[in-house]
Amino acid sequence: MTTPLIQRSARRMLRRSRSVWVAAAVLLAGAAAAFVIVETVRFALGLPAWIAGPRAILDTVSGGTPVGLTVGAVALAFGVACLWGALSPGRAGRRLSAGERAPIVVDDAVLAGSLSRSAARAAGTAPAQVRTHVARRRADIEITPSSGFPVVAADVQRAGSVAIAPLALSPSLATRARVARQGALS
Amino acid sequence: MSGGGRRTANRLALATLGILGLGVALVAAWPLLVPSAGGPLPVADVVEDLVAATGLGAVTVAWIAAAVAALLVLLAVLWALAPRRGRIRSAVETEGVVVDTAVVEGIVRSSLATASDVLAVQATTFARRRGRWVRLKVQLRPRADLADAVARVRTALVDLDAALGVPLPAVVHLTTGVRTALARGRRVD
Repeated sequence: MTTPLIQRSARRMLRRSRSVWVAAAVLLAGAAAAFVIVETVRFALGLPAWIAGPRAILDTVSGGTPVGLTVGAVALAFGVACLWGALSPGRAGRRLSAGERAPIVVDDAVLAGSLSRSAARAAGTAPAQVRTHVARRRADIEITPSSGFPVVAADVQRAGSVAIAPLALSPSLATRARVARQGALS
Repeated sequence: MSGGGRRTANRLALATLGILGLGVALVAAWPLLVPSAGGPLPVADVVEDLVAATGLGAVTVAWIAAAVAALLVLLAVLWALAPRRGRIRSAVETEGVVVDTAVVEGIVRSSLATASDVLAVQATTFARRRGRWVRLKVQLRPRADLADAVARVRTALVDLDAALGVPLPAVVHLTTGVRTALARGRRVD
């Protein structure tokens, strides 16, 4: 029973939430704003400035002084980080396997482990001799064969494809196997 | 606010803060970026002109600006730190019968007890305007047999439907975690 609510919820799990990012950015900006607010209130009460009055803050930031340039550099880093957070796709490293009863969201780490397992079985090596890296569209399987026991990369690649084909993953994932030139004693 | 609306608002908040940050950086770097401009941007003079144009005294404008800024900061911090909403305890409420999420978790865990690659099961129910749904987080062993794990999870969902008598809207999440890092992989035969 995959209702539109379930489909949408499963698709949302493929993207990372930015709530922690927003909380950190708001707290940082809030701290800077709090300093300006305190100085503004002190000016309104007729008290001497704590560090620099409102007019002095504006003059320092815009005056090209070392302090102003430091503030500018921090603001630039903050602004770029925030814009990156707002505009980047925010992929969570997960894939969706649709099913009639319920969609299944699979972490790329789980896929990598499963592909390593299939590759080790196909190559007849120990699991520790296989490493799999899952990128956006492709999984790279690296096998270090046991010395004296050649491994055919095409067989390993086929085993990996067969292992994930029934899942009909979205985004789809192609597998590529690479056999190391030097073997390992095992 | 719905989950999707909240995510859009998060992106808008980040974009707004990003543009503000770049604006401050531009003002600070102006004397270096545009030496031909003959000096820094007259930001303080512009602000003083704006204050004079309001017809209010500088002190009054300072009070108003501080109050508005404090209110905005307070609202922003409260909004950013607000707890995630939408999680509820009951997974099913039908004809006066309430089934707790822990019961759902127990049924699925029991079904998967003999699945050698499954380390842990955690159920969480979310309430949305259009209904509620359950996220079943299943932690797997390192190098788990994915096809077998998926088949076992699908069987567990059939068991769950049979036990509850109603098909529960669910999303399954096959994942790793601390227990995965501490567990050993099964032997590859």
